[in-house]
Amino acid sequence: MLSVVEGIALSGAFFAQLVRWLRVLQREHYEPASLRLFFARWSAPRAIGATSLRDFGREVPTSSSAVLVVALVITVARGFDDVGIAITIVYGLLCPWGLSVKGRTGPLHWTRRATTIGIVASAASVAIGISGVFESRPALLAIAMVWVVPVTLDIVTRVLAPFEERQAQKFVDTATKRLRRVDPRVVAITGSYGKTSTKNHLADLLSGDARVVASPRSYNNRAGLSRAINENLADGTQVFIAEMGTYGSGEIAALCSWCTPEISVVTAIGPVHLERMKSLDVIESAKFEITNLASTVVLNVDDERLARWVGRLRDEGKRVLTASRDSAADARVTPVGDTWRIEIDGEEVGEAPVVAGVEASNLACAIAAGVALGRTPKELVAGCSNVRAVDNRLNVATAPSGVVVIDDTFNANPASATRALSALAALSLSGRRVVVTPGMVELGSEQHRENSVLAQSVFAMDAELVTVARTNLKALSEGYRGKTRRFNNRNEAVAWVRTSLVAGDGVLYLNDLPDHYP
Amino acid sequence: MKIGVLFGGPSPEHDISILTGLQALRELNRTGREAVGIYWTKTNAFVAVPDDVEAEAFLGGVPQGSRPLDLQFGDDGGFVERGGRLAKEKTLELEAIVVATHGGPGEDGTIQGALDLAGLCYTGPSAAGAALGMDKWAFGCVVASAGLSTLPRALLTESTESLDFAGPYILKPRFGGSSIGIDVVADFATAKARLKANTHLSFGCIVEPFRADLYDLQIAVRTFPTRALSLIEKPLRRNNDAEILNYRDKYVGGEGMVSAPRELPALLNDSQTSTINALADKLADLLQVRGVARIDFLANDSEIYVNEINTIPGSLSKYLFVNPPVAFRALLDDLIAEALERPTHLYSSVGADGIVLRSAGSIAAKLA
Repeated sequence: MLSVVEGIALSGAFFAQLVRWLRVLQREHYEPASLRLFFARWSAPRAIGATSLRDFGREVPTSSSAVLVVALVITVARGFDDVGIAITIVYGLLCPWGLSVKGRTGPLHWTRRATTIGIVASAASVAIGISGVFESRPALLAIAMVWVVPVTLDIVTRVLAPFEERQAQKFVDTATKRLRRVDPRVVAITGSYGKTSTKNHLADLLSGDARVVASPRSYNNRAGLSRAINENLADGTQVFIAEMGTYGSGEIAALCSWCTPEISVVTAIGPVHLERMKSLDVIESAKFEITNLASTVVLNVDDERLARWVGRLRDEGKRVLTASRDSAADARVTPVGDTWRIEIDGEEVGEAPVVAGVEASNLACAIAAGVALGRTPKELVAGCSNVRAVDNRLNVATAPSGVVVIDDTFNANPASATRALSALAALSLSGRRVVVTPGMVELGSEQHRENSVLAQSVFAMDAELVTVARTNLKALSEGYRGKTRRFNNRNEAVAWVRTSLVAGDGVLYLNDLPDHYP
Repeated sequence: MKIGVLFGGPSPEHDISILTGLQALRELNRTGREAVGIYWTKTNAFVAVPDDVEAEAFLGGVPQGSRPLDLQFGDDGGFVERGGRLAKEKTLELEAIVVATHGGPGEDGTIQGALDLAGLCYTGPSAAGAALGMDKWAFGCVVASAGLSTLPRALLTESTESLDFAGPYILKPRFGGSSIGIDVVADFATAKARLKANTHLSFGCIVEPFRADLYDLQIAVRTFPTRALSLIEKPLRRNNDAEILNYRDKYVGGEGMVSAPRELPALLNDSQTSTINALADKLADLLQVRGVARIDFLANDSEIYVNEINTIPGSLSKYLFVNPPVAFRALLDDLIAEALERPTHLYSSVGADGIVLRSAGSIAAKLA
């Protein structure tokens, strides 16, 4: 039999693991497969951080998890189960080293879903653990339960999926009823990037004249959108702007079936969420679903793939409005120095001052959607003065120390990263230029290459590279031809910047990873 | 018995109201008075929020850990926590409600009327006082007919053919306390065009001369235990109708911007100060001020005009009471004491004694 103390300690180790991985699962929108991926990321060997360019020490080709696994296998194979218990407790309570239980950027919220998964996983694991107590080696199953928490959560999430489906449907039903009652004109926006910005720009453009509600934050899946409607779509709303995201084909079509857009906007097709979407063609056809039920479609024709949609949709009898920065279009926004030149229907209708961090093609999409909603060019030009950059998107500020800080920590992607680098290059600085970044994620098989290219560009513009965390450390270090500084987390990097940079220097914070990334 | 702090609501000032509400909630709890935050959602639901909730938690809608409430009318009225499979339905035991809603139905008498019907005591204006304060046309007419100085003002409708004052004009929604929907136009024709295009004006539009030479002056009035006026403030930006709290960049360091730029006390000459104080004193009676209200004036060095009233001002205007200083907790205590002692309504059924009913005969006969 196990002693009571051993039982309690193993339970503690189990729950520490449960909370850790449950948080990862929640942050990854309950995608069961994400657990495998993150387990692999966290268990990989870590690189050593260094604040100076010389002093790196040697890389350790292993991780604490790996050492403990080997130790466990040896001890258990030789029959020293008590030692195995001790190793398991150490692992359960402390590993993966760095994956915090509590979370800094996003703590675990004990929502109904998280609680249900937690309870079912615990009940199953405890039952299995206890069933082994009467075997000749009573600790083995209990030990196993601590180590396989990610697998357990994976299975439980899949098993509970149908139940969740029913729950989610209830919220959708309420939202559908509310939409029908308030009856706003619905604009749906999708795109691999730029959809949150475009949504906000459109809301800003219209807000002077109409009662507009945009889905908050980046709520763009079924749960988020139904919540946005249930909690934000106030009576009397005239225009509802819905952001729609997708991780797979059929998802946007399903959203449109109950939140049916009159006007659909597509901002870009790019290599985002490749981990789940596999290829650009899959992404493109998934995004195309947003046009099915709409009568008007707004397309950013600076995107090659979207440019090809125009003829096809017009053949289907839809009204298509094109938006562009680079070429003639139904709505075009061209940055000329500090002003945007705004053209609608091929005619220059006005100018507005450039707002840093606002991408011209996104604004053009928003203006085209405004045209589709019946706004006059004059009203839209006037509305441009209300447009603001999304928080943490190319926000430039000067710190009290005189260091110019560009905050671009909102969801980086290859296109936005290029823009951020040019913004840093464009600053007139007498001193150093520094890029602080953990790199970009959710790029699937392209992730390594894209991050490597990013680091090359940083090197090419003669800026220093400071890497944060280790998710993309290898790709970034390979791409940058010189030495890089490395920090384990953003706070350490920020502290270094504050003490090391002086007036005349500039720093770009490019992307921020939530702390469930290693 | 707890104090309820009510905030949010389907209004453009929903977000500012959350800040006011959370400040009051935190202050009461911090100083040992048990309080519960009641969040009124944009879609007209009520929930009790966790005590330590931060403003950010409202970004997506209802914060995690909130419990749904129903507002019930009648004898056992009040905010009722819904029952579930395990929990029983439970009415919150509330001594009084601190109303921290701004704009829309939170400041136009709607919520006040609902709280009256639910039998709850609350701070701030009565339904009638709130309605009068929110209706810029009625407000302007009351001020003008009392002979107090105010800019010319007219109701702009489809059938308006001309105005008897010259442009440029400022157009404002007749109802609504925020800067949303406000338009400045050069001439009458543009004003008429905006009336059609700007749906914020579709519920009624008032028009005034736009005077770029005038600046804002604001004063707060408290009514309990005795009437008291605050210092006069000059906000250094126009249409700055709420404290703008800027959660400035975590990377920049330093203090960041704490509040909107202002001049407090405003540098005025003695006659300006005494004119404003006298006007505020008169207006408090005229407009049935209850709780704390902020009255806004437009002025230049030789003219002063009454502009509008905020019957539930942002942050409850706590920052204006600096000389003599009034601690936020003391301000809240006074508001709560007033909520309990000074009724918001007086319903009467005197005269409904049945005589009419007895002599009425059959309804059918009345219809014949």
